[in-house]
Amino acid sequence: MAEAVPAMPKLVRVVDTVNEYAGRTVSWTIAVMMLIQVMECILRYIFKSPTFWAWETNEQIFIAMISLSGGYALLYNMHVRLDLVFSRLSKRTQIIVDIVLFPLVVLFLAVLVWAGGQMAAYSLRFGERSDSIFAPPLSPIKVTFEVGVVLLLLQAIAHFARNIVTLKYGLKKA
Amino acid sequence: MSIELITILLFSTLFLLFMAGMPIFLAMGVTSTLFVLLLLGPQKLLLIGYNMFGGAASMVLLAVPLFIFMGNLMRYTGMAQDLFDTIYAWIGGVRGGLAMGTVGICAVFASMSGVSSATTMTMGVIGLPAMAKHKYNDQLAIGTIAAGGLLGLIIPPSVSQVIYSSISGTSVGQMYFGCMIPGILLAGLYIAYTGVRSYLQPGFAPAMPKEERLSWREKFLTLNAVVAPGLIIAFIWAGIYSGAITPTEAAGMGAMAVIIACLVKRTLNLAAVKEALSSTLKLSSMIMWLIMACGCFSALYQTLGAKELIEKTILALPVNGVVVIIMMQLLIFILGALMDDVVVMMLCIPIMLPIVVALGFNPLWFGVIFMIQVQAAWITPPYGFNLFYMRAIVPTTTPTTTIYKAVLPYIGIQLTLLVLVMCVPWLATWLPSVVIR
Repeated sequence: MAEAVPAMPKLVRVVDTVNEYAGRTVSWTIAVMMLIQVMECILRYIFKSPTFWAWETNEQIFIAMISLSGGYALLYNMHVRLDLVFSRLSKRTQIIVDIVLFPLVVLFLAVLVWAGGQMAAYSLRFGERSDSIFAPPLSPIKVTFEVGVVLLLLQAIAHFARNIVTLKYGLKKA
Repeated sequence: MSIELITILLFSTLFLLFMAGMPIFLAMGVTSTLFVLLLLGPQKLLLIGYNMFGGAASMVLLAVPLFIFMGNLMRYTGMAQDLFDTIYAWIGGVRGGLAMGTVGICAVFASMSGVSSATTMTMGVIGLPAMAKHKYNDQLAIGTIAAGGLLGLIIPPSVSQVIYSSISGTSVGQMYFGCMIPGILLAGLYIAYTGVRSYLQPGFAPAMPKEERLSWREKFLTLNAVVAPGLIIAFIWAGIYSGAITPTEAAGMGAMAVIIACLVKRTLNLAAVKEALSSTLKLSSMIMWLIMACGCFSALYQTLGAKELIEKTILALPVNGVVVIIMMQLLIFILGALMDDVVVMMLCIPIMLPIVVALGFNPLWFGVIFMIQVQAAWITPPYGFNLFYMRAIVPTTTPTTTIYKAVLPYIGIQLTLLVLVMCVPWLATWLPSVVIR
C-alpha cells in the first residue's frame, strides 16, 4: 500500500486540474455568446443599429470554446464510443486495449499539434485577417486552437498514465 | 490504389477502431492520419490540421450550445419539475394518464429545447418513480420516457435539424416547419397508443386513486407553472415565424428568457447556472469534436476519390427511384442502430442528398424523413443514447433486456410515422410552403 506511487499520478493530477479549470472557465463563454445575441437583437429592433461585428465575434468565441474544451470532455469521458463489444470486455481488458491503441491516438494528436502550430505561426507571421468588413485578425483564434489541441493531447497522455498505474497497482487505486 | 480498395481499407480500419472502443472522433482522426501518411505522404499532413480547424470554422453551430444550455437551465432550476407536477395534477385520474401526460410534457419541453438528453434525464428522474409509485407497468414507464424524451429531436427547434441543415445546405427555417407536423403527429401517436392500451388492459396503467387527486381549486393553482414556459414558447415561435429573429438567435433569446423567468420566480441560483453551463459545454464539445473529425475524414475521403465511386454507384443503382429511397432508409436505419446520429448524418447526407435530388425527390421531404430516422436511431438497440440514459436512470435490478423490450413498441410507432411521411409527403412539405414564401 505505502509503496510509492510517484511522479506519474502527480502529472495526471496536474493535467486533470488544468483541464477542469479550463472547462469551468470556458463554460462561461456560453453565457457570453447568449448575451451578445440578445444584445444584437435589442440593438437591431429597439435602437435600429445592428452591429457588423456581433456575429463574427460570436463565431470566434464559439471556435475558441470548442477548441479549449476538447480535453475537458475527454477528462469526463464524454466523447462517445461504440461500446458494442468494448463494454462486454472486463475492466482489465478494456485498459489493455486502450493502452495498445494509445500510440495511434498520440500519432494523430501529435500531428494535429504540429499542424495547428504551423497554422498559428503562419497567421502570426503574415497577420492573416478574416475576409469581411469587420476583418478581425485570425491569429488569436488559431493560437487558441493550438492551445486546445495541446490540452487534448495532455489529457490523452494523462489518461494513458492513469491506465498504466491502474494496471500496475490494481483496479482499486487511481 | 483503386478507390474501391481504398474505401474498403478506410472503412474497415475505422470499424476496427470503433469496435476496440476508441472514442469515435479519435478513431476518425487516427484513420485520417494513417491514410494521409500512407497514401499522400508525410508532406501532406498539414491537411489534418486544416480540415479539423476548417470543420470547426465552417460549422459554427451557435444554436447547439445555446439550445442545450436552455434545456439544462430548465432542468437545474426546477422549471421542468413544476411543469410535471401540473400535468400530473390534471390528468393523473385517467387510466394511463401519467404516461400520456409525460408524453405531453416531453412535447412541450421539446418545443423549447433542442436536445433530448435534458428532457430524458429530467423526465426519467422525476417521472419513473412517479409512475412506479402508481403501479404502472415498468415497460410502459421506461418506453414512454425513452421515446418521449426523443420528441426534442423531431419537434422544432432541434439541434439535429440545425446540424442536418448545415451539412445539407437546406434552410434551417424550412427544416423547422417541415418537422413540425410529423413531430406533433408522433406525440399524438404515442398518446393514442398509451391511451388505447391502458384502456384495454386493466392493471397496465391504473388510474390515480380518488383520494390522491387534487381539488379543482388546487388544480387551477398549479397552472401557475405553465405560464412561464407557455410565454417562452409563444415568444420563440412568434420571433421565428415573423422572421424577426433567426432560428439561431432564437436559441440565445430563449435561453435568456428562461433566465429572466427564473429570476422573476426567484429560482435562479449560481450553482444551477454553473451546473447547466458545464454540462452544456461537455455535450457541445463532444458533438463538435465529432463533427470536426467527421469533416476531416470525409474531406480526405473526397480527396482520395469518393466522388467517382458515388457516381459509379448511382449508375449501378436500380432505375426505380422509390426502390433507391427505400434502400437508403434501410441503410440509415441499420447505421442508426449501430452508430451515433451525428456520424450517420455526416456519412450519409453528402452521399445521399445529391442522389435524392438527381432522382427528382424533394430534398426537404428527404430531410424530414431523415429526422424521423435520426430520432429512431437514439432508441434502436444496440446503440442508442436514450437507451444509455435509461440504463443510467433505471434501477440496476431491472435487466437491460427489459429496456430493450420496452422501447420496441415505440420504434414500431416511429417506423409507422416514417412510412406515413414517405407515402404522404405533404405532411412534411405543406407547412413550410405556407409559412415561408
